Amino acid sequence: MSEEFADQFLEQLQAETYARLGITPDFESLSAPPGMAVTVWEQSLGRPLTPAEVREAEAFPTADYAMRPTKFEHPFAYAMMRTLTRHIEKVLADHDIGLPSRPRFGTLATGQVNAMTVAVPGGGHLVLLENELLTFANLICKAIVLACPATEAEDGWFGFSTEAPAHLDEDDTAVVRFTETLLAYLVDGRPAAAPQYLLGSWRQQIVTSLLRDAVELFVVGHEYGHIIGGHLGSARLRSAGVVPVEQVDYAWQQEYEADYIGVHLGVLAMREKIEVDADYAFCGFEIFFSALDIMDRAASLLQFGDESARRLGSHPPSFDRRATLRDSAVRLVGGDESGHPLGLGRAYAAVLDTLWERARPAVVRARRHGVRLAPMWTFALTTPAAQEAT
Amino acid sequence: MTPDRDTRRMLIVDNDDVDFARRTAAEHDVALQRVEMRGLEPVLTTTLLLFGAAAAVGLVTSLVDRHRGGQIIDLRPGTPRPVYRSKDVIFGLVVIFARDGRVTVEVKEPAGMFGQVLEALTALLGELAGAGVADIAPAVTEKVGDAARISTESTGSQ
Repeated sequence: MSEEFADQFLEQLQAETYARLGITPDFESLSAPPGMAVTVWEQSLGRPLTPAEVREAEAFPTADYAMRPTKFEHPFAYAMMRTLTRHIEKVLADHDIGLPSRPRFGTLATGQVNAMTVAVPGGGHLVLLENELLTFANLICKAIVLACPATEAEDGWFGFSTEAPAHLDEDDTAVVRFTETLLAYLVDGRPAAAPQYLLGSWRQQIVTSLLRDAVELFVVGHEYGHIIGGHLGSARLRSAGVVPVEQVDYAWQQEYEADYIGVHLGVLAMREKIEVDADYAFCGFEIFFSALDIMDRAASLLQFGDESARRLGSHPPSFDRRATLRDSAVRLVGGDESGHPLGLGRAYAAVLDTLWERARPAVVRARRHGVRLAPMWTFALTTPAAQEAT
Repeated sequence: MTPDRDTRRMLIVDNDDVDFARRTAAEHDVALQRVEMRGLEPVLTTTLLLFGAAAAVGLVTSLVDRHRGGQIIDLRPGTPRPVYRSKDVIFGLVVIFARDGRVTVEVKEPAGMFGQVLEALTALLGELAGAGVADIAPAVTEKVGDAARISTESTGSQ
């Protein structure tokens, strides 16, 4: 497969998908506000940038416009995906895990909280993330951190209490931010339509970054898991010529396998990237599946007035996949009676559940005021008969 | 005459329409390949590639689109599915359900214009959710111009 052909195929797929969803993206005119990259970087470092760093920050968007593979690719999302895939591929190289070919990657508007691996005709793969997934993951992780009060130990280390409910009674900022994110994604189709904000402390930024890395590396690792597992292998057999279409049943065993590989790669990539223990890496699948479940519930609640009426297509349910992964994770790195290494991820999943409990009334109120889902979500809200067919 | 295989076209269809697309392609000597995808969540559409002579590929694309039927846009509050294609409505028609009736849009030249009209109407969804016929009809007329005939039917309910 030539990279050029794969990128052409991706662009065609993006164009057809946007047309189907009735969306006209305009990334050509997209640009960051002047100085935004400098401000964000200074916030994260807690000091002014050096002149060299300022030049690097200011050059960031320009470089990504030139590098993105198609005109439909969001330059910032593509830059983040490039970093994620680099970490995953470093882990693969370090462990002598071969790939049939290096995948190309990008984003796709799916109308679902989703990511996918696509077999390119003629050979090779595309790893695609839902085009708003990275923004959604970032804002969800920020809300989680806002919900958890910071603690400081005597030795100078810091942590975050995961006892969210009591904290939220005193300060509902996290609930407000979480609700804004949910409604922006549901109603505008863009979580970035929610009011944007910077976290107040570098400690919060660090933990948010860890959680976001864990979620994103799990998702990307899952997609690489499909390639490593040869789950789309028939595409290679077909590459010699054009073949008739076949009805392929959705292979859930392969999903569990890709989940497992995704967690494994996430743990190793987190160690490789920032030298953190498995505890943080395991937060990735916990937060992802919790957020997925909440989006399902919120979409159903806004559209039908019943959070269990319809699902966006999750089967087996995300809680089954999460339970399976919890068993696998303990086998992967061992566990102890205190809950290590899964305790942290479970605690953050519980924080998300609490945030949803407190955000739910706002979704109900929005529905009462006639607010409805963005059209993109309704393509995934299939009839029960259609869901059976998948 | 052996058809050339130079033309390739991508088609994204509902999973229910895959069998029809496969049969239609075979009838017109168009090769069809399903693009394999694995999603973290199930992928609810199927992406197909059609290969064949340009005219044949165009015909199959058109027939599959016709098979999907007309368009329903349901703007009534609490509707289970606001936007979908329906085989109960003939190709070329768009039926917009409002809280107090319905607006029917008949595309004059559906073979060439149906897609463009749908794109224009989909863009109106956010503005018109929950609106009545009296608001929807002029907005639709302004959006599609002479490309379609528009008729309204009021039920009187609010």
